[in-house]
Amino acid sequence: MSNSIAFISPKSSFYFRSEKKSNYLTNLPGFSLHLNFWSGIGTALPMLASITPDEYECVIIDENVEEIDYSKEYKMVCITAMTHQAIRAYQIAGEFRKRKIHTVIGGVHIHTMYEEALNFCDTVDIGEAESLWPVLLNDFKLGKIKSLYNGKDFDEVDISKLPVPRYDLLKDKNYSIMWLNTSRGCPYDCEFCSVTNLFGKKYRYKTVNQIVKEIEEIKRVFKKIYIGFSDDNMFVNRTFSTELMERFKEMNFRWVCQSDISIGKDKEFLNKLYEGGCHVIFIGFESLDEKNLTGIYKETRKLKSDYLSQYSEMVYNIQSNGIGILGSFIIGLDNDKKEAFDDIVNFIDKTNMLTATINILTPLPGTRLRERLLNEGRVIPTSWENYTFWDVNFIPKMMSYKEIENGMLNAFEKIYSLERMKKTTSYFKEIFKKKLGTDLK
Amino acid sequence: MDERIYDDVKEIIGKVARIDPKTIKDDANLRDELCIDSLLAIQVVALLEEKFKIKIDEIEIFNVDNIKDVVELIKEYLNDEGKLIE
Repeated sequence: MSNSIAFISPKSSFYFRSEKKSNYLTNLPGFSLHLNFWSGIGTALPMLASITPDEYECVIIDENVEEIDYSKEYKMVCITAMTHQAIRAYQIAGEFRKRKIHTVIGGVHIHTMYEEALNFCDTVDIGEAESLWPVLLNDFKLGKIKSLYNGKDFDEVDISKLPVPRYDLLKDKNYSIMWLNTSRGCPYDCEFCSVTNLFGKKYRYKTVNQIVKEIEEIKRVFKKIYIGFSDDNMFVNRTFSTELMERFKEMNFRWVCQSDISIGKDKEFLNKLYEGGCHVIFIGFESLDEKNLTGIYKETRKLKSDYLSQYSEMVYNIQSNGIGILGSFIIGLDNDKKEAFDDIVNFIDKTNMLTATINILTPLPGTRLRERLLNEGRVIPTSWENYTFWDVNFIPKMMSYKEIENGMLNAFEKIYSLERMKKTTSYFKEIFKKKLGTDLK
Repeated sequence: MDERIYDDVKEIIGKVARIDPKTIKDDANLRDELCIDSLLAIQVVALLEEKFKIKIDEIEIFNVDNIKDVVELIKEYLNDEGKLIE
């Protein structure tokens, strides 16, 4: 009997559910940079493999880059699922259950929809898995594995004690980017985001040495690969981030990350980011409408609406330091009319933003947004497969479904056009001449 | 002349990609082997223009695949501007 555990990431797409629309989009000239960074595999599976005892052989299967071979024998199959992956995850679990292989499921979707998952899998994990995983495996070994494990019944995961994830298991998958994180948690609790619900409001950090070891392991396993930090907001603790940048500068590598726009005010820190190898930052601008931005936060938090009038200046500060921005905007917020598309496209163009994406407001399970829209009778009963961020799953307040659908395609045609690509190339060329040119003379 | 252009191109690409220029082969693929994406390609163009005193078309660098192609592109520009000395 095999002693392997297969960790599976189901096939999914963040782009249009329609293949025709997705193909059209991915062939637009300026889309490749976006595609470069918006790929790869999440950090959960290599981390779980790293805390699995040696008596088990671990295999990671990413259905986005390889087929699942159902004829292989596994002791257990563990599947992770974000919302748009959930249906496929349940189908995979069904195939393995037919073969009498024990299935375990977890992930951000399951954290909220665990009752649904219990219908399709043998064991369901709620919350962060690292603390409960050794107990689950021991129960499995003793033949008394339960159907439900809740992270809340275990100690909070101390991420500063976690080992280096098993990046070696991903070696042959031909990824262009490898993700790791330096922290978990977010205090902002934006209405549309499920991160605070899953990881909590308090920031928890890995140590600088631990992060350095992870990067060194990635560089050892993959000779040439982008490194991406998947923290939802990487530079909240500026003291910690500054220490990190000093180490990154010594390590001399290029990387991408996610942050809120507030770094655009801190010119001294932006220079440290550039010197530390920061290449592109994914920034959630969300909206250019003050009422929309105010509505995102609970209580008195107003981070983004306070910065709205300074958005252009902050974009300039970041990009003039040689760091490109991948801006993210949401369409369909309650104060959005169809003209919001033009406002976003014009802003992207005016600021020479390196690249950008527009996501349709999506009522993800575990968010305050979903609760509100359900109470207002505005959630459309679509399949989870439709939760791509580019398909409509709710009734917008001031736009029609068609206006959103057509607006997305028109906006993307402009954002990823050859004309804009030439314009941003010319813009960044001058920035780099000033920033880099003197070094070579 | 070719060798000098190769050395200069490798020095620039090594600086931009943050890798040792000595490890870069002549046929190294810019995207797959050296991880030069479009933003890094712009940095490469900016430095090539400064180094060789030429003006490269904005999009042309995205159409080249490897170091050898970049060197050929530079030679073409130098030739067009009468700056190429064999």
